[in-house]
Amino acid sequence: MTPTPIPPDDHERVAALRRLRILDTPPEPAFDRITRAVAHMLDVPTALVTLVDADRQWFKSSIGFAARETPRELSFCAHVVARREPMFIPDTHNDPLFADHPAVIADPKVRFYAGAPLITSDGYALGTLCAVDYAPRPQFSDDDRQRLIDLAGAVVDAIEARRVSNFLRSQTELLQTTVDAIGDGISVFDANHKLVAWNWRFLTLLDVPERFARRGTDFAELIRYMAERGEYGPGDAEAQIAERVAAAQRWERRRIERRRLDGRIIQIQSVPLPGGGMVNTYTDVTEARQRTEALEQQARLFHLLEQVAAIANQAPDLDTALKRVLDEVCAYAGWPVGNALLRAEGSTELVATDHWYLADARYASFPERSKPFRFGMGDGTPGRVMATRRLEWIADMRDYTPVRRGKIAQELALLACFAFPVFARGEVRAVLQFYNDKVTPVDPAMFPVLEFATAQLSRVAEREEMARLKNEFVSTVSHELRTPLTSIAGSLELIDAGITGALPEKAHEMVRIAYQNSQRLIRLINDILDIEKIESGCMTLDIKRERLRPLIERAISETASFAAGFGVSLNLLAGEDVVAWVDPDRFLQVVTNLLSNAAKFSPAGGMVDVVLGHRGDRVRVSVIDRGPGIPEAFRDRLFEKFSQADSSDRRAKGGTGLGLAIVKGIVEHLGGSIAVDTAIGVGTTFHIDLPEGAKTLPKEQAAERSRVLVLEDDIASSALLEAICRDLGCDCDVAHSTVGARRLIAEHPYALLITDVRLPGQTGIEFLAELRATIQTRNLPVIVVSAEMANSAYSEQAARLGIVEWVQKPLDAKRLIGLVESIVGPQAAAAR
Amino acid sequence: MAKELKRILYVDDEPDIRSVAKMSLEMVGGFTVLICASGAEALQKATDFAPDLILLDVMMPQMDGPATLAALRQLPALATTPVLFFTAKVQSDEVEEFKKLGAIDVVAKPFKPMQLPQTLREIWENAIKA
Repeated sequence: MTPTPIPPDDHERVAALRRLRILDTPPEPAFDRITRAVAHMLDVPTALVTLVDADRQWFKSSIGFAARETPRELSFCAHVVARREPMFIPDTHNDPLFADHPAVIADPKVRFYAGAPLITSDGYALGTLCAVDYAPRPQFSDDDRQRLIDLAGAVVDAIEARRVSNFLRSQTELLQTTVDAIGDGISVFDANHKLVAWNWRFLTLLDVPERFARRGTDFAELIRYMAERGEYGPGDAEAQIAERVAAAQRWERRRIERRRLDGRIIQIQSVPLPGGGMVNTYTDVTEARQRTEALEQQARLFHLLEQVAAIANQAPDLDTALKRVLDEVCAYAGWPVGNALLRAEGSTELVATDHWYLADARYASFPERSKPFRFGMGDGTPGRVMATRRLEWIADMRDYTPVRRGKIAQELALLACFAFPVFARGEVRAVLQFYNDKVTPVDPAMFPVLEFATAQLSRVAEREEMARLKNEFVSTVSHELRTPLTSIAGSLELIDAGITGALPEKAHEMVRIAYQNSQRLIRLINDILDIEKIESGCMTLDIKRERLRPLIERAISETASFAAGFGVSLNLLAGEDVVAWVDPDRFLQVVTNLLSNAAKFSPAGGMVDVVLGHRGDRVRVSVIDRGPGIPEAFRDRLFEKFSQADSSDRRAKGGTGLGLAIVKGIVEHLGGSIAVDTAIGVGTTFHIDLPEGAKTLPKEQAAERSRVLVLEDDIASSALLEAICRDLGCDCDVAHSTVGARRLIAEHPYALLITDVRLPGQTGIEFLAELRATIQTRNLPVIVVSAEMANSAYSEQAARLGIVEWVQKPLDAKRLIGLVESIVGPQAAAAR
Repeated sequence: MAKELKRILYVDDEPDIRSVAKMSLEMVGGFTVLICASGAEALQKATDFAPDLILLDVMMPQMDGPATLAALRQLPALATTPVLFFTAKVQSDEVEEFKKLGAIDVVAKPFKPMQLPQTLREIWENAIKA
């Protein structure tokens, strides 16, 4: 027997065959139809689709042959595969290759064989379509040959079709496996809103019952199920369904979040498919959201603590601090109502203040209706706070028989409340009470916050109490000292003047000494009180735009006789008049002080000159003496309290040692500065530089007054800025912190913000960024007044934040006025 | 002819200051002076005395300066008489407070007895003119 030929590419060929995954598969009609056609058309008893494997031939379809496979070495078809051409053997007995073939000489005794190769599109001969007879067929025609070849082509087509379909199936399986492995839920609806694909996670994330997990489930049907289960919250299920179906029909890309009944948050993202349909992905964002919320909560908490501390540091009084903390706590806790109650000095009862936080109009009647109530020890929640001295929290006020304010609160549908104390000198000085419109269990997370607020506000209360006691003390002492001094100095003055009759010369001299020293004591008391006011920040200034020449003339006339006592004359040199921003009384005090100082240190017969002028953009007042000059060693301590170059001077010259400290304090409170030029043996000049005021009178007020907000933590600076704005005919509000500014901005429309950038708690820059992110303040003009250099890092940020101008401290008032006028002045108003 | 400041009612609880003030007003100023030690005494005597000017100490026991002023204003004869406060606690913002109460001005203690009459004349004349 001729050995079975093996084609050179047999290894690849067999691999290609096996890749088809057709071997050992059940019969398929596509192949059986062809073998039936072969048997019928060629009138043969046996027709086969054979596939030649590495060591066997396997029949995908067979007619008239019992075996499913035979060894390759016995295969006729292996020859066809090797040749890659059809092979026809009309009579095996006459064929030299097959005459002694075992299948010819023994069963099944093949006498006729016709086989056409099955060559796939990628060029492999996988097997044959063959016809076999057990009698010779010398008459097998060319037509029959061609039919077999054509049908072999059909077998190849069937194999290819099978391959494509297998590929698709495997791809689908791969896709489904992949989709199932994704952590997110996925559902796909076609253009008719029928479910066509989904994954396991979709079913579990949304708890979709088995019965919906089929192709063709209607979107509306699924939505109905969800709505009826209450997934969309309370409300009309039909409306919820209609709304969602309508949304789906818009085929829009959208992202929504849904809180499920079990509290988990599912983010649903819908992306429209080209040609209709929608892919939805479902992501469980519960943990992520919780993490974000926790972080946000923490950030808000830090912000609150920072704000409360800043308020405590800056608030001018407890009243302001209470109001601001009230706002901050309500904003933080999200409680709609808050009220500060205060216990007046000497009273044992807490009374509601006018400081309320009311989230909306529903609660508008609460303040008025609260007015009659007074809370003694143990009365109502505030009274209980006073008794227990700690936070009181009522989760559900309905658990108690409502009395007093509780009754009103309940009528206003407020259900929960808490209140915490503010202490001063160990006693409850105030209580902050808050109400919520829902039952609110005690939240332990709030405790540290509220304890912090208690501590901080108590600090303010304590400070205020101390300041009050100190003021009272200073006031009392000054009264108590001045009362006897009035009698002493008054009597001595009358005696000295001879009103009570002539005195012996020696007695008169003694009386004069007593009188002069009583006057010195009066000056000392006045100076000490002034220093106290300057240092405690309690000096009240009434800053106006003033012509300085008349004020200086007055100072000269008031000091002239004192100077004459030293044989010194005072002169105001000719020159321009200037206008500056000053408190006239305090300015007078400054000049008088410098003049008397200069007179004291001038040689007898000397002159003290006053010169008015400018230095840069500021007004300069110079007081020039021709005295001995200030010793080098003393210059640094010149403006310190009780410092005089020669301590014996104090007695000799009758000064208090406080004059220059007071002068410097006042000048700085006026927004000015003081400098000194001195030369030993030549003389000394003190220069006072002050913010210049425009010479013209304020312009006609615009019909509509502009409102300006000044944000500045330094009281003296803010007073000057306020005076300038008011002088320009603007309404002006002052905030000393960003908290206050935020509230004022919420309450009034502003035409301009003037702000410092260095503020406690939050920088001005941060605050501006916040304003720029808010619609109503996005375009609010801003002028920065700052000691920061305009070219520092701040200014770069400032430019990005659309700051109109940057004005350097010490303040150039003229420039600021020009800027303010350009923004809110009449011309600017007309331009608007 | 312009009216002249002649009759002054002075109310103070401090006897020493009363003495100094009396001497200043009478001997330096040449005024006719009625001195009272309390607001109550002033209320009894004021109508009969018919002062041109009333000087009130602020801090007095029982009835203080502002209370005395309010009470004096109830007396028909004194409803418009100019009133000045004397105080040892004067501060610029307090001056405004006192003016709001109806005083024409405030004089700080310690005052200068030799200058006081002249100061009072000026203040009084300004007030009358106004």
